[in-house]
Amino acid sequence: MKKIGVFICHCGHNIAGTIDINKVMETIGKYPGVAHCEDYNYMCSDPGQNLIKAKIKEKNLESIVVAACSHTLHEPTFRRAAEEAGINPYLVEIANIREQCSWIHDDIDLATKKAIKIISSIIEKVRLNQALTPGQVPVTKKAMVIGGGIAGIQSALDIANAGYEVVLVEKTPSIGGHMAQLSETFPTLDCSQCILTPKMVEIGHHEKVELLTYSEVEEISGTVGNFKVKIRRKSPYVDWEKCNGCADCSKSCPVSIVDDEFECDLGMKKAIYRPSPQSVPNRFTIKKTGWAPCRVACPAGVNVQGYISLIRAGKYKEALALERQANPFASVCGRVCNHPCESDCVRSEVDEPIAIASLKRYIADHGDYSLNKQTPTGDKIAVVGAGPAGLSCAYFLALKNCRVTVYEAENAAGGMLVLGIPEFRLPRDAVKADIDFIESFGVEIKTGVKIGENYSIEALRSEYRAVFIATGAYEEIKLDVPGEELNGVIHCIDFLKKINSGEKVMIGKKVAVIGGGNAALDAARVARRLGSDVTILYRRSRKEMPANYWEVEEAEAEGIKIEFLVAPVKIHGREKVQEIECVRMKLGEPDASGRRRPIPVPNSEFKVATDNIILAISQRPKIDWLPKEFETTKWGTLIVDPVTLETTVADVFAGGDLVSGPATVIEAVAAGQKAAAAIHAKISGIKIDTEAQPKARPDKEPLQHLKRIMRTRMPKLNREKRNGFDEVELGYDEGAARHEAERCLNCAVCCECRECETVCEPKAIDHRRADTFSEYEVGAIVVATGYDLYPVEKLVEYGGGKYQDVINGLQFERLLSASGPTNGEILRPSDNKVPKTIAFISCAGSRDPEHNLSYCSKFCCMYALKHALLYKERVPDSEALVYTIDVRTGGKDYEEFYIRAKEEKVIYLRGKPGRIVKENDQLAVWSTDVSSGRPIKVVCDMVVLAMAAVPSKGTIDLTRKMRIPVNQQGFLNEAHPKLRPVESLVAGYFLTGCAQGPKDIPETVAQASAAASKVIVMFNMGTLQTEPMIAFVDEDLCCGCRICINTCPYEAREFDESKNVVRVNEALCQQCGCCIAACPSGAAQQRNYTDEQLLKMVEAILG
Amino acid sequence: MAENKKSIYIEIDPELRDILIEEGAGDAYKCYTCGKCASICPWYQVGTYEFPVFRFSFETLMGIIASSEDKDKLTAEIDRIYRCVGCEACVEQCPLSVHTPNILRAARRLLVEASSYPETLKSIVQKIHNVGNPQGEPRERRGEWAKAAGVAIFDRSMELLYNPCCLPAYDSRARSVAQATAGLLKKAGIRFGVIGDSESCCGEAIRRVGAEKTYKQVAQANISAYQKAGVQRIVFSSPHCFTAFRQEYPELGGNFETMHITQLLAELMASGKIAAQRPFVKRVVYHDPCTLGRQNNIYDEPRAVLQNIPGLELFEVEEFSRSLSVCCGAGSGGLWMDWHKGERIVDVRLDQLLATGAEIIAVACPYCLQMFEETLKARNSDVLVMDITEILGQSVL
Repeated sequence: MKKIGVFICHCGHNIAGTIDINKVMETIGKYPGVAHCEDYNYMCSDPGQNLIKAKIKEKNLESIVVAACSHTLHEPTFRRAAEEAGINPYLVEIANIREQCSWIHDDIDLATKKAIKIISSIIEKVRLNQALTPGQVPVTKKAMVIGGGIAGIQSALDIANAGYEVVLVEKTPSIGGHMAQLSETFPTLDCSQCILTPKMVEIGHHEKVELLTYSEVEEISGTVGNFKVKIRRKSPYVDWEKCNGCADCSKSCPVSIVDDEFECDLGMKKAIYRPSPQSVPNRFTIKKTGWAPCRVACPAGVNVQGYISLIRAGKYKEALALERQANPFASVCGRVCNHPCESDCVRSEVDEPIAIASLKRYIADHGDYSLNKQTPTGDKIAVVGAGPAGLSCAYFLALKNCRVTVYEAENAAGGMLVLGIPEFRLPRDAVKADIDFIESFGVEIKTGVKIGENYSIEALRSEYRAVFIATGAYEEIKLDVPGEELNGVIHCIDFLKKINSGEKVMIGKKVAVIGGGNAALDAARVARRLGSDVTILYRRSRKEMPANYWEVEEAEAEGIKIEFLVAPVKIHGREKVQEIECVRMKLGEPDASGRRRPIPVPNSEFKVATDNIILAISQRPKIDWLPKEFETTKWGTLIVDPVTLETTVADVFAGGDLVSGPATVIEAVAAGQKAAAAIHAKISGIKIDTEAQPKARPDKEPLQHLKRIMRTRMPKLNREKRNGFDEVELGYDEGAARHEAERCLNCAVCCECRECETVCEPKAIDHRRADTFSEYEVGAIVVATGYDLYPVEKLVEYGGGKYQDVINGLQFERLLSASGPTNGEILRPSDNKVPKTIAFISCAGSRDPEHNLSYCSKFCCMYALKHALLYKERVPDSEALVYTIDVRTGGKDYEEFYIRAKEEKVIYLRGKPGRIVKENDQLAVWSTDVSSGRPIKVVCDMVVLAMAAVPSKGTIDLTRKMRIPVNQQGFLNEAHPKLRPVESLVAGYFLTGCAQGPKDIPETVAQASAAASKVIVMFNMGTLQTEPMIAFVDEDLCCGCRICINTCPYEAREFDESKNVVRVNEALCQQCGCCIAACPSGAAQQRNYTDEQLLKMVEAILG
Repeated sequence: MAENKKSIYIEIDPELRDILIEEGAGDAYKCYTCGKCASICPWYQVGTYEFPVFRFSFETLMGIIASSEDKDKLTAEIDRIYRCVGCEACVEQCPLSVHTPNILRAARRLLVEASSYPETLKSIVQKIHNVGNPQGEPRERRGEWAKAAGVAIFDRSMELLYNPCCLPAYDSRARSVAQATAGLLKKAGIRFGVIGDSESCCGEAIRRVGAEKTYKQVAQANISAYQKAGVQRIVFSSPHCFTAFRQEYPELGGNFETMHITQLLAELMASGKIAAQRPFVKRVVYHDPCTLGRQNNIYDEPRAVLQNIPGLELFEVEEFSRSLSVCCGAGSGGLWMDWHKGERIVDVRLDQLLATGAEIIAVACPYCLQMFEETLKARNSDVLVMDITEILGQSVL
C-alpha cells in the first residue's frame, strides 16, 4: 500500500477555530495507508512547507494530502514543495477544510466530522492517483484586441511595441471610442482629442498592427494559445484601398441624418460619412439599411427616396434621370399615378405621407426634357400596342441597344393615357413629352397599324427577334339588365375615347354613371364639364370604391352626387332612356377580392329619371385576333410566365392590362420593365437579376418626437373655372417642392442616388459591395469592448427622452467640444439658446438597484464636476448646480479638482431630485435639501444627467461566443478581483477598460497596459503547459459508438477507423469531462479522476 | 446637570428601533438619504407643509420616531406620521425600494396600540370593528343596493363574486358605481352574485392607519365568509379591496383569484362580450388611482375601456400620469383626515386634472371618486367625476 502523508493546516483560527484538530489527527492518523499525520499553524508558510519536505524524506512518503484552504489558492505551493522533495506533483492533493468546512459551519463537532470525511475521501483519491507529466503546446504569437477605444488602442500598441503582431477589431468605422468624443479630461483638463489622436495615428501606421474597423467577431473557436477567430468585415460600400478621405462624396450626398453615434443625436451626418475628421482610418462609410418602403411599394421599383433626396438638394435634372432609370413616364405618373408608395410612406405614422407623386410631377415639369437622339444597333424587337406597358418595354429595350418598333392600332400613341384619361387630369402635352423622350432613344412608333388585320403575329415573329404584346383592355363589360340596348346608354371607354379624340358628344341634362372605378369617375367629371347633372350609382359603400379616394373627393367637390349601395336592375324608356330602376344593397360577407359582397335589399326598388346612362363596370382585353396557341385564362386575359412574362408561344411576351386586366399606369410600366429585362436576358443569354432588398424603415421610437409638418397642398384650379378641360392640378413651385422633399424621413438612409459615385475621383464607391469574412489565428484575445450610457428614456421622472433639453453626459461633451455640433458653444438643443442655469444630476441610474444598476459608475462624479466647471468658464454669469448623493473623488488630484469647482462657485446640492417638470420653455428641478428637509425648486434651462455606464451593446453576444463569464449587469468577470484583475477565468482572454467595469481613463490605460503585459509574458514563454488530467479512452471498453465525439466542445476526440475506437487528441483536450458523462460503456475516463477513484471517494464520505 | 435642563442631543433608543423593525420598518436600513422620496411626494407639491420623507428612515434607525416628551411636539409628530397617504410614489422612485409607507405603518401601529392617534381615525376603526363599515351603517343594509339592482346572493353555481367596497354599498353617490357594474356584468352574461351582509370592510385602510388587530379580525372574518360561500373568483370596484385580497389576505390564508373591474371590462370589450353602444361625447381625463397603478401595475386596461367608447376624447395629465400620477389624498386613512385648507393634496391633483380642460374626471376607485366629488362640490365646479363603470354604463346600458 502507498505510504500517504497527511498534513493538516490550522490556518490560524480560520480552521482550528471551528475544527477540533486533535480529533482529526487522531482519526486520520489511524486511517488505512496513512503513514504520517501532522498539523501545523500555517502550512503554507516556509517552515510549514519545509516540514512537509522533511517528512517526505524521513518517512519515505509516496503521496501527500494537505488539508487546508481551497486548491485554487495553494495547490501549486504544495505541489512545488513536494516536487522539491522528489514526489510527482500530481500525487499531491488538497482537502479543502476551510472554505467548504470551517468557514461555513459553527458546530465544532459536526464540522470536525465533516473535515474527517473530506480528508478521508481525498486520501482515497490520492491513493489511486498516478504520476503525470504536463503537456506542452506552442503558442501562436499574435494577439487580437477587440474594441478600439483607448483601452484597446493602448493594449494593441503595447503588444505591438513588444514586437508581436496584433489584430485590432473595432465595430465602428473608426477607432477612438468614447474618448474621441470627449472635450477635456479631468482633472488636468487636457484636450481629449489632442492626447488621443497621436495614439490613433500610431495604430494606423504601426507595422505590427492590422487594423480592422467596421468589423465584428463572428465566431471564435480553439483555446488559449491557439484561437481561431472569424471576423465579419461589414461592407462600407466604399473600397477603402482606393478611398483617400477627400470628403467629396460626403459633400455631394443629398441625405443628412441625425448622427446617433459620434454626435450622440445632437449633430447631423451624411449617408456617406466618417465619424469625425480625425477618424482612423480616414475612410468613408455608407450607411445603408435596404430599400425604403416607398421604393419597395412601387411596382416599377422607382427609387423614390433617391429622387426626393435630389430634389431636396436642388438637383432636379439628376432627380428626373434617376426616376427614368425605372420609369420613362415621369410626366404622366407625376399626374395620374395611384402612388402605392404614398400608402406605405413611414411619414404617415408621424403626420401625413410625403406627396411623392406631386414631387415627381415637379421634376418632370422642371427637369431636363431635352432629347438626345440615339440610334440603337442591336436586335430587332417588335412591340404591339403603344400604351404605357408597350412604350415602357420599348424604352428599356432601347436602353439596352435594341432596335424596337412599336405598332399601334389607333392613330396616336399613348393608349389609355390619351384615350381613357381626360385632359383635365392629364394634359396631352404631358403625355407627349414622355413619348417624345422614349422615341429619342431610337424607338420607332408606327400608328394606325392593326396587328392581326394588316399584319400577323407570325409575320412579326419571323421578322423580329422577340415580340411584346400589350394591347390593353378595351372591351366594355356589359351590365346585363333589360333596356341596356336603349338609345342614351353609353359605354364609358367609348365615351371617353370620343371626348379625348375631340369628337362632339351630345349628352342630356341628367346623366347617371354606373360604377366606382377611376374610369367611372373620369366619365362623370367629363359629363359634368359638358354641363350635365351627374349622379354616380355604386353598389358598395365608399370604403370599397376602387377609384382613388382623392379623385372621389374632387368629383364630389365639383358637384357630382354619388349614391352608394344601389345597383341598376332595369333601364326604362321608349327608344331612348327615360329612367333607371335601381335596388338598394347592403353589404354581406367579403368576396374573393376581400371587399364585402353587396346583397340586394328586398322590395327596395326605386326609379331615377335620367337622359343618359354611362356604363363603367369594367373592361376586358380583346383577344380574338390572337392565334389559338396563345392560352388564356377564364377571365379572358393572356397566360404568361409570372417571372419572364413570356406567353405560351416562344419569344412572344405579353404584359399590361392584356395580362392583368384593367390596372394602373405604374403597373403597366412595371410590366414593360419586367418584360424588357426578360427579353434582354433571353436574347443575350444572361440571368435576370431579381435580388430583393430588405425593406428599411426608421425606428418607431424617434418618430414619436418628430415635429408634425403637414404635407404641402397641391395648388388647384378654382372650382368655378373647371368648366373646360384645363388641368385641375397646377403643380408645385420650387419652394413647395423643396419644402415637401424636406419632410422625407430617409428610411433607407443611403438613397442610392449615386451622386457620390459621380464625384469620387478614385472610383472607390461600390454600392453593391457585400460583407466579407476573414479568419485569424491568434494566441491571446484582449477584450476591450467598453461601455454605453444607460438610456435617459429609462428615467421618466426626469423627462428623459421626452424633453430635448434633458441630455446625457456624452451629449454635453459634444456641446463642449470645439469640433462638436455647436463648435464648442454651449447651446441647448431645443432652441439653440445659451443656457444660463444648468442642473447636473449625478447617479442618474447608477447606485440604483431598482434599475438593476446597483453599482457606482465611478467616473460620473468627476465628469459632472468637470462639466460644471467648464460650463462656468464658458458661460459667464451662469449657475451650475450639481446634485449628488455624495461626491466620490478617489483619485490623484481629484479632490483638489473638486475644491476648484467649489471655488468657481459651482453649487453642490446633496440629494437626488425627484422630478423634472417642464415650466414654459424651462425645466423645474424638484429636490429636497436633505439636511434641513426643506423642498427646493430650481428652474433651469437645461439638465445634464450623468447616466450610468453599462456594458456596450453587443458585449453579451460577444461573451457568449467566447464563453467567458460576466456579472449580473454584463461586465466581464476577472479571474480574481484582487490578484488577477485583467484575466478572465477562461485562459487566453484578457480584460481591460470599461468592459470589465466602469473606470476612468488613467485606470483604463493602466489596465490596458497590464493586460498587454500579460499577453507579452505568455508570448515570451513560447509554449504553454497543459494540465495532464485529460481524458483517455480504455480501448478494451470502447465500442466505437462515437457519441463522445459530438459532445466534445473542443473537437479533441477523433475516431480510429482501423481499431474502431475513439482517440483523444491530448493537445486539444480541456478536461471538461463531457465525454466521460456521455460515454455509455465507461471507456472514457479522465486521468486522476477515474470512476474508480470517484466511487472510492463517495464510499469514504458515506462510510 | 440641573434637573429641568433640556438636552438637545439625539440618543439612540435601540429598544424602540427594534420594535419598529419588527413591525415592518426594516427598509430603513437601506436608505442612503438621497431625498428623492421627498420631492416625489405629493406634499412637495402642496408646498405649504414640509414633509421630508427620508427622515423617517433615520428616525427609525435611531429609535426616535414619535418619541418627544414635550406634549406639543409629540402632537406635531403624530400629525406628521398621519400625513402619509400611502400612495407609494416614493417607493416607485426610490433607487433602493425603501418602503416608507411601511415604516410609517410600523410607527402607526405603536401609536394605535397606545391609542395616541387621530380621533377621526379612532372612530373609523371602531365603526369597522363594530359594524364592518367605516360609515357606521348597519350590517343588514349592506346588501340593500343589490336587492334593488336585482343582484342575487352568491352561490356555488356562480362564476364570479362582485365585491363593491363599503362606499358604493352604502354611499348614495357611490352606489351608482355598484349599480353600473352590476348592469355591465349582467349585460356580458356573467353569472355573478354578492356576498351580502356577512361581508365587512376589507380593512385595507385601517391596516395602513396602524390598526393591525382590527384589520386582522375583519380580514379573517371576510376570508371565512368567502371560503364558506365557496368563492373562487372575485372582481372589485375598489383597488383598495383588490389590493387587500390580492396582496395581503394570502398571508392570512385567504387565496382567491382576484381582478379589478377595469381588467375584467377591458377583457370583455376585447372579446366583444360588451360593446359600447351610444357615443359619450365628452372630454375625459383619466386619473390613475395610486393603488391601481403603482401598487398593481394596472395602467392600460382602464384606458383601453375609455378609448373604446365612441365620442369620448381621452386626455392625460401630461407630466403626472401613469406611474407619475399624484394621489387624490384619500389613501391610508387620508379620506377621513381633514387638513387645513391650503394643505390638501386633493387640491393639487384636482388642479392638474382640471388644467387639461376635461369635462369629466374618470376614476377607477371609490376613494378617488368621493375625494374629487366633495372637492368639486366645494369649488362649485361644473366638472364631474365619474367612475369608469358609470361612463361605460352610459354608453352600454
